[in-house]
Amino acid sequence: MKYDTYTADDFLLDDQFLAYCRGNDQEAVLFWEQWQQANPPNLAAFREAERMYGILSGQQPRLDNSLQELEALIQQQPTPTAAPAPVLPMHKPVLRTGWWTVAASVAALVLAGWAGYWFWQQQYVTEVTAYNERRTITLPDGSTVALNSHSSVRYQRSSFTESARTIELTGEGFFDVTHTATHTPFTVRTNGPFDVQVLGTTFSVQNRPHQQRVVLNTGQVRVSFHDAQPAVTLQPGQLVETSASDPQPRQRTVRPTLYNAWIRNQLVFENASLIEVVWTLKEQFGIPVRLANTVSGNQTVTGVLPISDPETVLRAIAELSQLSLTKTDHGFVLSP
Amino acid sequence: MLSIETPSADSSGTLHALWEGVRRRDYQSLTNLYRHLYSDLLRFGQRFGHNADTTKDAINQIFLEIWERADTLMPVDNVRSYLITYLRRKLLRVFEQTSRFTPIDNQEESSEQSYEDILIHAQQEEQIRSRLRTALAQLTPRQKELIEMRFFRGMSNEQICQETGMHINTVYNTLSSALKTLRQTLSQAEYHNLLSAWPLWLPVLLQASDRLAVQIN
Repeated sequence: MKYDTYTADDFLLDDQFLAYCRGNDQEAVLFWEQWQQANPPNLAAFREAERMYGILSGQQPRLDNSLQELEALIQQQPTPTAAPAPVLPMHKPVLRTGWWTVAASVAALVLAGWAGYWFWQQQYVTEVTAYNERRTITLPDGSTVALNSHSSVRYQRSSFTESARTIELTGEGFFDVTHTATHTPFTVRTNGPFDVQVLGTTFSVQNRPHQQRVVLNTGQVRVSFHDAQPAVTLQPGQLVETSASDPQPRQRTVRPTLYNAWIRNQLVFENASLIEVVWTLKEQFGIPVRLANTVSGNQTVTGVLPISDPETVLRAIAELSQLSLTKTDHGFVLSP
Repeated sequence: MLSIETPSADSSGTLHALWEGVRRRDYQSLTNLYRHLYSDLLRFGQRFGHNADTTKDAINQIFLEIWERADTLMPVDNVRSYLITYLRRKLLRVFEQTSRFTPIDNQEESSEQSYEDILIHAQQEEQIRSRLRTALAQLTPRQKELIEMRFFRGMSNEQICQETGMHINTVYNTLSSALKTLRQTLSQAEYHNLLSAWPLWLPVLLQASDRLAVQIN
C-alpha cells in the first residue's frame, strides 16, 4: 500500500489524514484506525504527523470524540419525557416508527456494542520496565507479577477467562498467581525454549537471551518445552534452566530466595561465574561491562549487594573478586 | 471587526432547517447541527484566548442546554451568530468562575489572538513553547497563512487553492517547505532525547565496532 512509504510530511499533506485527525469523516477515521492496526513500518512517521497536527491546530479535540462526549452528557440527563408533551393536531403526520424500526435500531446498538467490546478485548496490554527499574503489576485475575529491569509482559484482555489465563514474558518476572475456584490454569508463554503452566503458586521466570530459567517457591508448576523435550514438573525449591551455551534443560534443587532477590532490591551471587555476573549487570543496568583478556570468566563470585547505581555495584564486585575497575568511554572494564 | 472565517459550504438555509429540526426534538438534526458548527465554534473560542478543551466543554454545555429545552426554543434567523453569541456568554461565565482565584491579567475577552499566540498558548511546556516560537518566526507570511488554513481551519488542499487562487502545486510546495522548517526546529528535542539515551544504543555501536576490529585484524 502506498501509505506504508509515507513520511510525516506526506501524511500531513494528505486530505484523508487531515479528516482523520479532525474526526469529521467517519470513513477516514475507520480507514486510518485499521491502517494503524496492521502495524505498518512507518508508524513512527504517522505518530509524528499526528503530533504535528496537534501542535498546529492548537490541540483541537476531534469532532467525533467531542460529539460522543455530548451524547454521553445527554444520556446522563433525565430525559425530558417528563415535560408535558406538546399537543399535536390530529391531522399532522407524526413520524412513523414501526416496531421493526425500533427492533432494528436495538439490534444495531447491541451489535455495535458487542463489536466494540470484542475489539477492546482483543487489544494487547503491555507493561515494560526500563534498565534498573522494577515494578509490580496486578493482572485482571488479581494475580501479580513483579518485573525486573529491562523486562516486559503482554496479554490480551480476552486471554483472562474462566477456562484459561495466558500472558507473555520477556526478561525476568516473579509471579504470584491466585488460585481460582474453578482451577483456571495460568500459562506464562516465552519466546525462549519453554512455557510454564500453573494453577496457583509463586515462582519466578527468567527469559533472557543468555539464560532461561524457572524457579518455584511454592505450589507446583509444569514447564513444557517448545522443542520435543519432555515436560518437567517442579516441586517447591526446584529450578530448571537452559542457557545459550547449554540448551539441554538442567533441573536441580536450590534456595529459591537467591533467585528472586531483586524483588528485595538485592543482587545475590552464590558461586556465580564472572561471565554470569557480567550478564546479570548488563540486564540490570544496560551498560557495557568487559572483562580484560587476562581475567578468567570462570572465576566465581559470592555475595549480596544492594541494587544501587551501576558504578557502586561494580566497585563491590571488583572488590569481591579482587579485580580493579576502570571506567572508559565505552563503559567499564574489570582487570587484574 | 469580524475576522472569524465564514463557513465554507454551509448555506444558512441548511442551518435554519436543522434548527427547526431541533425544535421538533429531532435528535439527528441536533447532531448534524453540531457537526456543521463544531469547528467554527471551537476556533471562535480559541481566537478569544480560551484553550481548545475548555471551549469544547462549553460547546457541549450549550448543545446540552439547547436539547433540554428544545420544546421552548424560538425560531432563529441567523443560527450561526446566535450560537456564537451563546458560546461567548458561556465562556465569559467560565472565565469569571476560574479567574476568581487567579490574579486578573486583562488578557481575557475581546483581545483577539493571533494564530501564533493560540498555538503557543496551547502548549504546556515552556521548552516546547519557545521552540515553537522560533519555528514559527522562520516562516514567510505566505507559509504561515497556508499552514493556518490547513491545520487550524482544517481546509483541504483544493479548498486552499480556491480561496487563495494559487495553483495546487504551489500550495503543495509552500506547505511542504513550511512543514520541513517547522519539523526541523521542533524535533531538536527528540535529538537531545536520543543523545541522552546512550545506554540503549551504545552497546550496539560498540558490538559493531568490535566486529569491524576483528575483521581488520
